[in-house]
Amino acid sequence: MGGYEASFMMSQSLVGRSISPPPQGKEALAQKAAEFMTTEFIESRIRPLCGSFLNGNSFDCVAEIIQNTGTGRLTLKYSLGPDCVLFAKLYVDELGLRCYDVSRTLWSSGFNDAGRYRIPEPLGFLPDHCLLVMRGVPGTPLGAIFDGENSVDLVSGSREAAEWLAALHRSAICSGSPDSDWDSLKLFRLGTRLIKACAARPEKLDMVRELLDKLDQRTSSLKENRPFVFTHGRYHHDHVFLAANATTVIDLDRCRPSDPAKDAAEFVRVLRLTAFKEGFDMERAQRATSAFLDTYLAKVPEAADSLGCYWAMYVFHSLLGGLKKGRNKAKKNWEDLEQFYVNEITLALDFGR
Amino acid sequence: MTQKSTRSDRQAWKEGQMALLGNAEFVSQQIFPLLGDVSDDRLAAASEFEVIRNKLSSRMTLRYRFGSTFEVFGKAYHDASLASETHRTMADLWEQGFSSSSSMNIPEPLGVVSAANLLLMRGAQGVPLSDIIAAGGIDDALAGARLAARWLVKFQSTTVSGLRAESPCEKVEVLKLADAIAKVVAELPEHSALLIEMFHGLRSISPSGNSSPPLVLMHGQFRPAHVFIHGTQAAVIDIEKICLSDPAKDVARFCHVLKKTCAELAGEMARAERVAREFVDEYRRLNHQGLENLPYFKALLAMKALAKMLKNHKVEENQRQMICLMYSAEFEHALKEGSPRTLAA
Repeated sequence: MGGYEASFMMSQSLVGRSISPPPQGKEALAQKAAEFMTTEFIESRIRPLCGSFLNGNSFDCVAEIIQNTGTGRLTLKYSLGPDCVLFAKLYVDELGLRCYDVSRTLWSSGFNDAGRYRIPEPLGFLPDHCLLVMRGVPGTPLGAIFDGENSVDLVSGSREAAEWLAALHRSAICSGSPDSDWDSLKLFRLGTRLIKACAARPEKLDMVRELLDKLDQRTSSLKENRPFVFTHGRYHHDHVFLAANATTVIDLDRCRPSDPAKDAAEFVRVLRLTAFKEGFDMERAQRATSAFLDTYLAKVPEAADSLGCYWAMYVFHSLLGGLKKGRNKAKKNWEDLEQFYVNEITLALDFGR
Repeated sequence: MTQKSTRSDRQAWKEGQMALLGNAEFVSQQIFPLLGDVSDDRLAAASEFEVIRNKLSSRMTLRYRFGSTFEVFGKAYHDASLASETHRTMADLWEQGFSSSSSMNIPEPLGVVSAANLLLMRGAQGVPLSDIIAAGGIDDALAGARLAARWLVKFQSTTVSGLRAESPCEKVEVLKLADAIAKVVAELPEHSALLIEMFHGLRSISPSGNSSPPLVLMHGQFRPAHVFIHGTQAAVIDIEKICLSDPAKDVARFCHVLKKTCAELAGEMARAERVAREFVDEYRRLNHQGLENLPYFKALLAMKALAKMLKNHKVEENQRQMICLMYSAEFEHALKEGSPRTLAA
């Protein structure tokens, strides 16, 4: 038996195992969602959740699918009038109910329409359909600036995002099992990306290993018993909605206790990378980064110790993801992007040192 | 991972050390004073100096033999602080019940020659368990495995102050594994799908959180060749990588090396399996807790060994295939053992 054959046999044996349930396809989800857009469903299941806020509006509802990207989630929009919009999120796993519970907890803990820092109001969860229904949120996403939206200012918006995050991290909420470091740093996913990257670009092996070595040293310094807080889990500019009197953050699927640096690092990574890819003014992006970090760390100073580690690791993920494809992105060619990633990792590893 | 000192640095250091450590004046002035109540007559006998382990690492193991019966061992370290740190740990263990008066012991630490980063100790009595497993009777091998388990349980229940605790990320060794695998797939990309699938599998049985279970002393190189059996006594050598970590790591390493050695020597795998099972059963009999992550660490070691073997060109092809299949089976078995359904049962 040759090497390939043995490898094949082992692969077959391993591939046969169901490690996680297969994700439902986009088509299957869309098919399922069609039922939720019928008048009968809206009248019988959605309308009763609206309570008093319809304020006598007629229930002429327009329903549409606004997101179905193959992640096992589908988002529906129910428009009941210019100021009355509901969203419903369809799940294929247990996260829907969990997100509903977390939303109710946050809402009742002050992240509601009586305060400045908010989440979408949870209206109900339909367990028979794994459908979470919530009210629309006011304002414009911070990320709209990268699409040319001029009503948003990146620096002041980032400061607001930092205030919201600090409010979450300083809250006493504690729900769900604490994240392990290998999950919050996505180390196993990094392993698979590394394999794909090094198989596709073996000439980059030394560069990748050198960075990996630095990251290994940095992650090894993360203490076991450092303080955890209630984190968002997907904190980036597209999830932050800015209005005159409110800052609202959506997508609470991944909330759990974890290292506070996880959210801050994700925000900074995505903001700077998007700015670079889109050819945005990087000096302004730097000012937004500083505004975010200064505001946030003034309120959650303990996050500074591990922030550089999380930031660098998340950028390394992006580098590996790009390396395996080696494709140009938006307005940047791959060589510029690769250099940007390496510079960002260096910057992040120096953070707080 | 990249080496902190280059190969030529270490080679130069070793050449210098060998000239120094075998020097008669050095032996009489630096070694003799550490030997305690050994009579001058015995020391006066011609001494022999021998390097018994000198791999491409930053340390050397050596033996000083005085006359025909008396010998002491030395460990010379490239790292300036390691000799004294290891001595301190060994002295602490010796004081806490691992002296020669106990049936579970370690070699007696004699002292440190700071000028040479040299730690001196007596030898361990007995025969390496690896020899008994390879060539002894099965009853002796099983008895040896039980003694090894008892030694480890005692060791893990001991407290040594000032030791470093492995951080959560160090503990699970994912980045070390990723580094090893990066080298393999850069050379042999055809194995990518297999290794990615294994990574997914490994993740599915990863430890549940940063703090579970509580950390204990970890030997770091707990393997049959380091366990010396003398009647009902067990002495364990190579006490130098000690830190605090998950108790399952030493258990997993012992079983892994036992089977690996057997496969490499084309030995009887059923026998190795039986000895490993005896070791784990005895461990569990004495210590009911702390092995929840054993399947993970077994799978981790099997995967790392498989990856290395895939690109090993020194082993004959048939044997390489056989060993790869053995690691694959080990990995599969660990996954089944660690799956939520098995754990619940």
